[in-house]
Amino acid sequence: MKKYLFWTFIICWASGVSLTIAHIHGFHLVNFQNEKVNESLIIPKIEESWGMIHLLAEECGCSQTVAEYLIERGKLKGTSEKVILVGSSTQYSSRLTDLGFEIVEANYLDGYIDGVPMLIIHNKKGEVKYSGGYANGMITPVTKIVDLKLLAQVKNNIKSKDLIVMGCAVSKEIQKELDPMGLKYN
Amino acid sequence: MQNLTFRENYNKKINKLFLIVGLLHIPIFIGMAWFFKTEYSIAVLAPLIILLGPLMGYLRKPESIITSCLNAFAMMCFSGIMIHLGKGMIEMHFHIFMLMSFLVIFGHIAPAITALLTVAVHHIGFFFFLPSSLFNYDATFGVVLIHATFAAVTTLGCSIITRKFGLFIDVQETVVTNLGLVVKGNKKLSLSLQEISSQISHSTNSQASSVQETVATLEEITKMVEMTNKNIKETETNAKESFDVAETGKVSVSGVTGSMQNIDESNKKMVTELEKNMDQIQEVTKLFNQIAEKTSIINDIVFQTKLLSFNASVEAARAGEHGKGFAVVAEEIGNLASVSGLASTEINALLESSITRVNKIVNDSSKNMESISTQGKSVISDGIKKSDESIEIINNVVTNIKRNSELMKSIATASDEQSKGVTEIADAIKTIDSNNHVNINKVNELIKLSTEMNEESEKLEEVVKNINSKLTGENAA
Repeated sequence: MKKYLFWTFIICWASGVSLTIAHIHGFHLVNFQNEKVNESLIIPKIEESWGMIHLLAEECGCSQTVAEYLIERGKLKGTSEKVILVGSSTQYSSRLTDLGFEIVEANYLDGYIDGVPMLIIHNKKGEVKYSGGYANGMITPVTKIVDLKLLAQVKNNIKSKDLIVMGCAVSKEIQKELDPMGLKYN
Repeated sequence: MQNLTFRENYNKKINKLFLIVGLLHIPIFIGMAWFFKTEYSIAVLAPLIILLGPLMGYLRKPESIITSCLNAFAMMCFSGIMIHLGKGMIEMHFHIFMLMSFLVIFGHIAPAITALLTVAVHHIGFFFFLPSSLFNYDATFGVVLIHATFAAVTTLGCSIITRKFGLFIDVQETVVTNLGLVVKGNKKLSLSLQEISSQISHSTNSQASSVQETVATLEEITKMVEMTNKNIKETETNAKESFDVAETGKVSVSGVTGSMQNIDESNKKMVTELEKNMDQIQEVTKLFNQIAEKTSIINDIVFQTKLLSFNASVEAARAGEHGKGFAVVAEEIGNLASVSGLASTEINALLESSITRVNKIVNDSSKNMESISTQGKSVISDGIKKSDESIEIINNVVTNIKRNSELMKSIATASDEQSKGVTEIADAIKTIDSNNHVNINKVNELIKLSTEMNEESEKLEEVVKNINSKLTGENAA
């Protein structure tokens, strides 16, 4: 009897652990890049210069890394930079504001994008020249963020494929789909 | 407590080690969660949940290979958690290979296969269910197969090493087990050696004591033998002297025999002389008889003289005055004849008496002489016989003395030999005593060595225990 109980436990445990690990891996292995992002809603109509819009979420680790990166490098001269922060906490807001970033705080971005951190680069006319991730893969403290390179490329009309957006879902629908057990998204 | 084999103890130790390794992941995961800004809840709870499986296995059967497989599975799950907490960084996959390499320590192929299957199922599942998320690019199933091939090759390599390591563990088991047996045997042997050495020491001491007593006794025996030898020599000398004395006695007795024979001869001569004397006495007797005859003649003459005298007196008386002188002479002649008759009678009486006495003497002398002669002969004969017997006795005494002397010589020789033997024995005993002292020293050295050997055995036993403890995790106590 004990033997059966043991093996029953082991099978349940192994299955549960396998599924849970597979499940949590799905958190950050999903490409949130959405071709149908409604960029017009978040890009100003008239701009005097090239601009970068940083879409970040306060609760997203990848977004936090990007925010810290922005604080570290500071605002670019001659380029408008807007940071759209999703979430209630505003720990980066004041610091980014002090550095010259335009901060827009939002409670949610449903209907605009699926996930963050996401970078949008537009020209003086407000035309989106780049819409994608900050790096080739997940954003980690050791990941090289290539936003400046991407800006230079689009400015020089060098065409390249938009990087995938890997990080956190901001769409409630996707959050529920990705995390039905509520391990990451509460 | 259940008696486990070396291998089972080793498995138990490694399973325990992997549980500890699993627990040690928690602070690493917390650090990663902080650094990569991922979930602390997953960093703490996931390892604990993952460890439940191997923990249950460990509690059920810590030495079981199934527990090892559960540990291998858990380790792959830890890799999954690490990859998640590292935000899927490809570098975090090194954790998989690192742990797969680490699984070699089990020395069993099953945990490595378990790890490979876990990773394979995980990746193939991801490929089919989350194809766009598994890789950061559009990977085909071929790419997945390449990954799987590398994982399989890695596992194959690990399996070969695992097998070799397993053999190494088996060899260790053999070595430690046999070494343990050798140590036990050695310890037992050293204890036996110690005990035997002590017994030998005791015996040798006792022997040394006995030998010393024997030496003392031998010295006494030597003295006694020397004294005996001296006495024997003295006895030999005495025997020689006795022999000489006996020889002298023999000569003397022979002399006595000679003397006795001389006496006998003298006696015979004396008897002969006596017989001659007796003959002469008889001749004298004859002479006495002749004298007596002559005396009777004289008596006849005296009688006739008296008759003549009487006739003369008668005639003288008749011649008157003129015949007076003649009458006186006739009277005197008659007186003389009477006196002569008396003297003759007396002589005759004396002669008869002498003859009687002489005859008696002769007879008595003859008888006495015969008796004396007979007795003398008998005495002489006895004397000679006794003398002969004495000679024979003396001869026997001499022979015995001679034999005794020879025996004494033999005894003296034997005593000398004995003395030499005793001296040699004493020397040998002294050598034994000397050797005993050497033996005692050697035995003491042996005891010291056996004690040291015992100590070394105990140290070796401790070393084996430590090796066993280190290899199997079993308490050295």
